[in-house]
Amino acid sequence: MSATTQHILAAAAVFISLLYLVLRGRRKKDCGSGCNCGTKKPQVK
Amino acid sequence: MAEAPQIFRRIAIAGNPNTGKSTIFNALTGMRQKVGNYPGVTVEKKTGRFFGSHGETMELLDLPGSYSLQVRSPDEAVSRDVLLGRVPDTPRPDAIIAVLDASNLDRHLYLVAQFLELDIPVIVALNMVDVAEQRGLTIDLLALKNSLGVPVIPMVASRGQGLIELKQALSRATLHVSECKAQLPIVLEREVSALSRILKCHAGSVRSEAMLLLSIEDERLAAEVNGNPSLLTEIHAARERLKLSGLDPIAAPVDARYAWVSEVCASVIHRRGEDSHGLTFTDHVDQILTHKLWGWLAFVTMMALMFVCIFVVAKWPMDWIDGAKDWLANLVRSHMADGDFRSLVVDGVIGGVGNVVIFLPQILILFFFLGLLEDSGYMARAAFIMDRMMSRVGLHGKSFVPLLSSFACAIPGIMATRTIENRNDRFVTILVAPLMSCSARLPVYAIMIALLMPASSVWAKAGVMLCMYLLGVAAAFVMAGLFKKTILRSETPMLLLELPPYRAPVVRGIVQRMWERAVVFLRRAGTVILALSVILWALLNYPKPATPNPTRADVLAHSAAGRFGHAIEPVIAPLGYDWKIGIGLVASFAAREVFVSTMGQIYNIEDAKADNEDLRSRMRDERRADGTPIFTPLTCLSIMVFFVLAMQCLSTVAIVRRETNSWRWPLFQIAYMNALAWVAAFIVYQGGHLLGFR
Repeated sequence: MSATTQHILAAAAVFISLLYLVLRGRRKKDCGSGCNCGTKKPQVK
Repeated sequence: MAEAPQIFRRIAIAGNPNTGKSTIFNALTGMRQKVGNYPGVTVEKKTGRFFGSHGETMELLDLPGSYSLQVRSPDEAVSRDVLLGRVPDTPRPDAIIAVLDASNLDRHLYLVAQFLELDIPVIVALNMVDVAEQRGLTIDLLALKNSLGVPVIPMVASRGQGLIELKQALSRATLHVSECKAQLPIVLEREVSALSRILKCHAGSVRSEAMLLLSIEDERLAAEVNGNPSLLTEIHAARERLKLSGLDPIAAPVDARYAWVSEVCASVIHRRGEDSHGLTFTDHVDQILTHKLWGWLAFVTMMALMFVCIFVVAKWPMDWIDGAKDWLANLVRSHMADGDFRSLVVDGVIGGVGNVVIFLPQILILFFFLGLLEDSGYMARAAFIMDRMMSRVGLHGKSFVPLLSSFACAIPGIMATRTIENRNDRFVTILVAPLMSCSARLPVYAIMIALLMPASSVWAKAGVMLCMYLLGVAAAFVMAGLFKKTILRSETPMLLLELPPYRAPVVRGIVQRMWERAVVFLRRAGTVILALSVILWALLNYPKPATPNPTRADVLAHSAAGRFGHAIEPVIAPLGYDWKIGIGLVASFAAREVFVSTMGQIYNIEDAKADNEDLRSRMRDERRADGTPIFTPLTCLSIMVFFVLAMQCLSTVAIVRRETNSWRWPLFQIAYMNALAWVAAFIVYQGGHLLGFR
């Protein structure tokens, strides 16, 4: 694996990790009922 | 697509807390469960399905435990509202399984008296008949069935006894509403009937609604009638008439029910001879375990034993995980050319996540012991002896369970404070709950103790760890006392605690909880910790120095994290920390375990030759510019004290924000806990230096 390929793969991994953390943070905020279910409104999962 | 099966009967499972409701629920429904929330309140709604004796589909609803339908907490209110058919989206149940503890029948029948007033068919699941037998109680089942007018199924739910009979009873084509009820005074009966006529449009049990409204405390009445002024006037008038007849509207139905319960108990419970002093096995054990001095000694010994096991038993699986981690790292190294991606996989992913996963065995052992203590009935005794101290600082007795849950994780602990009715008491508990050492701190304590006292005995190591846990408890008590006297003043009510008889723990249940915990831990390691480790890897490696062929130490010092560590060094230097520990400290504010993974990455990057050496040895060899070791005993102690007291968990901040419905409290919590952590770590490090320690 060339140095450039490794560089690109590492950058992609960092980008995906960042994206995951950001999206996860947004998903957790929705429900508001305190049930930590991650859904839009209180409901039976 | 498969059609949803027709539900034959909707059944609610209800009873006092600790009667085995959830055990019966789990035994009936198995894995066919759904967990959600009741609309508008933060009380968990657990439903499940099972097949009756003839293959018909039944829906089972596990209601929160309650002592009475005259509610005192949000979860009791949910139980009452579901049974009265008041909850939207939750149909009124067709039948109730009333779960009773056979060994405490006299206390638990009161709730049954209220169920019988609901005009819903009731089936009594008389659980723990084996415990009743052991306590010398003989229950005349036929007499009980006749007195209550409902089927009575003797059960030992933990062993699955009585489940088939319960299913058979539930599968009967028709279930009858019992005619047996507590006899109310005639005047009260007349008022209940009159009020029932006004309420007749209601879908639920009109008579029980009427009784509830007549006997509710004044301060809750307005909320119950939903601002209906004419109904409120009628209720007040009825109450006045009752008072004129010499009846207390609140006490009269309660007295009537208790009289009925006494009558039933007298005819169905027969006590066999207890020992010569009238004491049972549980009473004998309790004489020691709840004793003012021996109780504490037993408590501390049990905790110490738990921590010794954490060190001794967990050693082997930890070594295996460590070996597997090194093997995997070497495998990647041997198959991939040197470069950024290899560094990310080896240092960031395997090093970062692996150094956290290695602590899974210790966490599982902690949960095994907590499960053992809880299931055996010891936790209620621990609550009893702790309550003496808690009440001294003004902490509510109900705070014990939230604080205990916080040893696993502060989030369920903080959510468990919902059972505390008083706002100020609840907020005090929320503010101090994160001071209890959660399982995420365990890896940090374990690695610091290994550095602090590598050659010491397991007992000494367990002792230090126990001290860290006790420091958290002590800090929580002191801060709670302070808050109760200043910003969150309120009266502390007395704790009424039921001490259940000792039981043999159900190992299957404990193992199931350990499995759930392992899944949560590994999922977190594979998602959040993995993502954070990758980002940390980038921050620890970039930007790269411009010089050709830089050493790993140069890369770290030049990186974003390295520069940040240097920038905050003046703030943390008085605590004995260098800039590398600073990086770990800052990273651990995302999640505490990240401290260990950050240390793993930092020392992996720094010392390429020592890849196979374990993290503890690399940290032990770390030196300052003047050649003195960084991780001296005093520094390790200072780090541990900082971790005991600091607020470093973003998820906890989010949950405190949600539970207090304001940013004010989480921000205050972050400020006070981190200030406390800094000051305490400063005192440990500088004070230790002054006393000549290094």
